[in-house]
Amino acid sequence: MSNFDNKTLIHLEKLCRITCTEEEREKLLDGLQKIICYVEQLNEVDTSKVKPCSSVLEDKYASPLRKDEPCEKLSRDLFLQNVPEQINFMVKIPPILNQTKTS
Amino acid sequence: MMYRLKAHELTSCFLKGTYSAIEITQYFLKRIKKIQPQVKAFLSILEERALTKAALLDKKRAEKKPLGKLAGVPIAIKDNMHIAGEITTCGSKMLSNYKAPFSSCVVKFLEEEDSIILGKTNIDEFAMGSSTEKSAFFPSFNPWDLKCSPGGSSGGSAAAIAAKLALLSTGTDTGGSTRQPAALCGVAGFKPTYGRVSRHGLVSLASSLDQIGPIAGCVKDIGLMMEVIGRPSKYDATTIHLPLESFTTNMFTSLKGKTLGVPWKFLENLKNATSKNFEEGVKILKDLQAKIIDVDLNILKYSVAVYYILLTAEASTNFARFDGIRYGLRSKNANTIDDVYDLSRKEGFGSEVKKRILLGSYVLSSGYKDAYYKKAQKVRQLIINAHEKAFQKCDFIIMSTAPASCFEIGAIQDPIEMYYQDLFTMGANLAGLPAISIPSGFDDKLRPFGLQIIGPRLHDVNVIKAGHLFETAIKFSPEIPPLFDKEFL
Repeated sequence: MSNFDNKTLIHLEKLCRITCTEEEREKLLDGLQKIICYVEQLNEVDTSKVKPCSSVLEDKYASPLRKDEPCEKLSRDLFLQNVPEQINFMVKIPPILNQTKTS
Repeated sequence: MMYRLKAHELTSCFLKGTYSAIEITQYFLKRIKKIQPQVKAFLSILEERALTKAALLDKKRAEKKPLGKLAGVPIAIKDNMHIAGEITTCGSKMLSNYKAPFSSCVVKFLEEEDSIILGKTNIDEFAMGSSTEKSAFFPSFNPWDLKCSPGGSSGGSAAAIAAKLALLSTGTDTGGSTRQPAALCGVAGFKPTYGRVSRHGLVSLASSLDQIGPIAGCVKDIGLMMEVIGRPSKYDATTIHLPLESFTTNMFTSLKGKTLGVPWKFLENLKNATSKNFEEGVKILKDLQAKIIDVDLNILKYSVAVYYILLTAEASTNFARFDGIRYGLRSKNANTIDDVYDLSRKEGFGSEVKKRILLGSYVLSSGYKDAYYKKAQKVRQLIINAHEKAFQKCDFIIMSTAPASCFEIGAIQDPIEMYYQDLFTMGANLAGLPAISIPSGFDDKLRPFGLQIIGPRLHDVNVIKAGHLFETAIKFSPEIPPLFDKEFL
């Protein structure tokens, strides 16, 4: 069913914002092809009358949503302590317009 | 011989005044420093934090102020849970400098009950693995056999308990990551019902499967920790609001009137020695007057396939947050915004993480979503149904925890073979059930086995009580790995 080739992988890398090295790509392609082939065994299972399950809490155990009220939040200093580059208490990023890709 | 005490025993010693909190802390910190080079269970040792807490506890005790349930218990935290002000690496270069701005709910509860956090334990990168070999920093080693893996992804937490570097630790269990390392390290590990323990402050892997659970030297200590962490939180909408339950009183004295289901056909996949050990375990349960019946869980042979579709889909979504902008690694080679994303993720993630993000995006991509993601969600429902059907006939399901005892580092190279480490544990995650692994003896190389007891949803207390009874009935020695069953002074 699946036709997972190098082209698919490169397309996925773009979607995922993950750039692989050539060496990684070869190993990944092989690994991914094997897993995709493996998971296709699910086609043996008749699921024509089954609804998809996205969480075990879909039923009676589902928690009620809490009241939409503000609660403790991170202070600016705490938030900024992990920001890799900052300027005047703001997150600094390279320019978005007119970028020239280096990689 | 403080290392030979259980957590509940040590806390009474502290309350009675046999040891001060400072003595306890210094003792275990010393033990960690001596043993760490061999076992490598820890990614960081929080000496200053531990000693500060210990001094505070001694002061509280001297002033006769009320002390918490875990007063004086040395504890280790898996390094994917936040402790305010400390680094949470998740075993990844991406977060090697990430300083947690707040504490996870579980850590908050554990600290409020006066445990002493000694350090953060090693983990497969972002909990993606079953051997702790995929940590970006170094692998951990099994205290029973230093050539072997402690299992994973909570391998550091399980190894720390086995080598008696702490008396309690936290694990996280997405497909078996608490129970499988516990089994491989000869200690007890528990995965609570999905929603029992708050995931707030845990770095998510797959949100519909992740659950935090205790790892300990005995089942009573597991119960003690569950009484502390098994509480709902307003910061995690998936926690279930239930009255608090006692996990450590009115323990079972027999399994009379209880029916245990064994999925014999599904267990045909067990390796010989494991199968023999499992059958001996079933016999012990029978001697405890349980009725043993056969249950059909053959659908679980698809659990690895279901799991790797759902896990990677959820992980690829969760991991979009690692973009090099607000936290985590930002590539020094990035000159444009696109570079920031691409190069930071390229440099920050290891290849297993990259593989799973790519696979997750593939199974969610248009054209393939129905064939993979939706299909897996449907088979997940069938797995839930099969468990519900089994629990109409039995109180607990019994299985081996892992397919075999621990394996040598590097011995499992094929990724799918590695995924099979969790073949018997994934069902409880996919169906949201409570499950415990209890040590059940050794193979001929003195490598431990674990037996797993799985209960219906919300029956956490009974699962722990059944586990406690099994633990008291099964007799084997040694209890502690011979290499580490001594003082390191």
